[in-house]
Amino acid sequence: MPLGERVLMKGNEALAEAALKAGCRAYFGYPITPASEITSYMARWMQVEGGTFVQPESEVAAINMVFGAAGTGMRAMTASSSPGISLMSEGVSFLAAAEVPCLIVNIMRVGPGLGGIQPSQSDYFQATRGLGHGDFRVIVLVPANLQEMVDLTFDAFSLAEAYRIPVLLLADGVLGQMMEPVTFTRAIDPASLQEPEWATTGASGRPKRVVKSLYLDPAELEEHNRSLQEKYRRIEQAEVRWKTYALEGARILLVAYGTSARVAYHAMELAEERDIPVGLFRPITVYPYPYDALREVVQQRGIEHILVVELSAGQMVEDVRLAVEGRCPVSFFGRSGGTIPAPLEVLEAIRNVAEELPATGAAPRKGGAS
Amino acid sequence: MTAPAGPSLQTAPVVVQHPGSWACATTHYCPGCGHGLIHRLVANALDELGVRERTVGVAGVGCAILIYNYLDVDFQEVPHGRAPAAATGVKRARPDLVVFTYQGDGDLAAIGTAEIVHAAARSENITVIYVNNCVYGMTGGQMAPTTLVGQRSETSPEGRDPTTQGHPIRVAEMLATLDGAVYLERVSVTHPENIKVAYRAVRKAFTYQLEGKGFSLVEFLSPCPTNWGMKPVDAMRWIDETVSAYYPLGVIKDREPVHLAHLVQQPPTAFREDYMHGFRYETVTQATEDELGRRTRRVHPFGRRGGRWVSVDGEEYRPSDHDDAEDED
Repeated sequence: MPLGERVLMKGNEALAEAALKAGCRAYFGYPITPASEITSYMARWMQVEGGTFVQPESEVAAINMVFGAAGTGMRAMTASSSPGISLMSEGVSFLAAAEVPCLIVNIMRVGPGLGGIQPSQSDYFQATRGLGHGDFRVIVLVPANLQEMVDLTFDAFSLAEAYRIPVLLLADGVLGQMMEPVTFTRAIDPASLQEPEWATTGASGRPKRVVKSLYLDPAELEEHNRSLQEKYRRIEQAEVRWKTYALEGARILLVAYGTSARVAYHAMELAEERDIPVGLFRPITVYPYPYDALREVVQQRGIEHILVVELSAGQMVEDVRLAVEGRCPVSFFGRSGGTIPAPLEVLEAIRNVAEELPATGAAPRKGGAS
Repeated sequence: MTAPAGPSLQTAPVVVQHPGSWACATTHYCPGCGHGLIHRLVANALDELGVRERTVGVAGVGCAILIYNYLDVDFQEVPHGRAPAAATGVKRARPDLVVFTYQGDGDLAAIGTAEIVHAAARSENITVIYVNNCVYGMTGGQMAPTTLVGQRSETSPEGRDPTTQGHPIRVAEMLATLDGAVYLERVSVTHPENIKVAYRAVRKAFTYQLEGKGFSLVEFLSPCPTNWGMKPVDAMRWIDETVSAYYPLGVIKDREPVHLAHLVQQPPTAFREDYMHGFRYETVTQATEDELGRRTRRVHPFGRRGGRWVSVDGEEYRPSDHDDAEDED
C-alpha cells in the first residue's frame, strides 16, 4: 500500500500494520478475544516483512519472548487482553527493572476474572499502578480513534527506546474491533535503527553485557531504584499528553479517555444543543497523567463541576480527584464495561450535574454555604 | 645465590589455562557444589567451538542465576522458569547468535515446565544446560519435582511420600516423546571419566545448534552437599549409587530433527500481492466516507464473523435496535 493513502481498517489490524511500519520485527502473541486479530495479522505478515512471529504456549511465555528479542535491541511487542495482561505481570516487572524497551498492547475486556469478551476500561488501575511487583511504572498511551492508535504505535516504540521502558498501549474492545479510516504516513526501515549500547548481541570486541534485574547488594539496588525513579520523573515532566474540547465558556468539564471519550464527546454536543456549557478533557497518556494540565483547565476556565465518564466502576476518577485537589466537585458516571453507555445516558448525567449548578449570574458558591 | 635451573614463567610452555569464556571470578558456590564444574565445561565448549563472541546465555532463577559473573559472554537474566521462552526470543530475533539456557531443576522441572516443553516441541534451535540436584538449593533445601522418593528435604522432612507428594520427574525421558526434541543426554560430574562424557555431550549439544538441528538438552546429575546434608565425597557417591539408579545416565535421544517448521520458507510473495488489494487494506471510497459521515461506526463481532452498523447518535440510540436482523455478513 502506498503511504499516504486513506484506508479503512479494523482497529486491531491497523495497530498491527502500524507496528510493522514502525519497524517492529518480533511479535509474540497468544490468542485472546478481543485482541486476537493483532496476532493473526502478525502471523500473516511478520514473516513477509522479514521478522519473526511465534505463537507461544501462554502469555507468560509471550512476554518473556519479548524480553529475549527486545534484549537483542530489536523492536519487539506482544498484544493481549485483560486476563492475558495479568499473566504478563511478572514479565513486565522484569522488563521494567532490566530497562528493556518494548510495546505491550492491552485491548481491554470486561472483568474481573474471565468476565466477558466485551469492551471495558476496568484495567486502568492495573495499567497505571499495578502492572507487576515493585516500584516501577510503564508509559501508558490511550488512543480514542484508530488514526491516533496508529500514530501512538509509532510513538510507543520511540518512547520505549528513548527511556528504555516498556510502553503499554491501552485500548478497549471497541477500538480493537471497530473500523475507521486511517492513513499511514511513514514506514521505518528496521535496518536504519541503531543497535543500542546495552543489547546482548555477543561480546565481540567489547566487554560482555548483562541484561538483568537482580541486585543482591542493597546499596546497589537502592541506587538502581533511585535511577529508575529519576527516569520516571523525567517522563512526567516531558511526556504528558492530553487534548481539550469546547472549553470556551464551559462550566461543566467531562473527563474521559479512549472509547468513553468518544461517547462523552457526543454527549457534549447534545448538551451544547440544550445550552448546557460543557467541555471535554481527554488524557492521551494516563501514565504520566496530565495532573497539572487538568488542574490548570479547572482554575483558568473556572470549571464548576467535573463529570468523569468511564467504562468501569470508577478508576481514573481517582486521578482526576488527585489533579483538582478539591477545587471543584468531581462526579462519576460509568457503566461497568461490556455495556457501553449511550450518549443520552451521559447527557442525563450531565443534566443532573447542571441542575446542581447555581443559576447563571449568581455568585459562585462559597465554602460553608449549604 | 643462583636462579634455579629450568624455564622461566615467560618461556614455559602452556600446559593448561583458563578458557577465554571464563571470567576468573571468585565463586559463591558452596564447597562440593557441581555448578563450578558444569560452568567450566560450558566455557570450554564455547571456546573450542570458537563462538564466545556470538553467544548469549539466558540464566534462570536458582543458585546459578549468577552464572553471568563466571562466564565472559553476554547474558540475559530472566524470571524463574522462563529462560526457554526468553532464549526463543533471542534466537528468533538473531538466528546468527549461539543461545543457551542454564537452568536448575526447580526452574526447569517445576515452574518452567510449560516453557521447556514448548521450546522442545517447537524444536527451538537452542542448547539447554539442565542441572538436576534433586533439591531447591537457593531457597534452602526444599523438595523439588526431582527429589527422590524417600529423600528428606525441608518440605519433605519424613522423606518424599509419593502418595501425597508425587513422583520425581525424569525430564529428559519426558521430552523424548516430543518430535521437536533432537538431542537429549543425561550425564554426571562425579569422576573424571563422567566429566569427559559430560563435556562431549555439552560440545555435541552446541554443535547441533551450529548445524541448525534444533532443540538439545543436557541433563546433569549434580551434587548439593549442603542441602543433602552430606560431605562432598559422600554426595558424589550418592549420585553414583542412588540418584543415577532413578535417572539413568546416557543418551536418551539423538536423531535427526523431524520437524523444523521455523526453517521452512514462506510461500511465494505473489500471494501477498493479491492479499494486499483485498483483505489487508480496504481503500476508503466515497460510499464509506458517506457512511462514516452519518456518525456511524462499524462494529465487527469478534473473530471477524459478520459485522453490523451501530448508530452512536444519541437521539436515535435504542438498545432494542441491536437485533440480529440488522446483522450483515
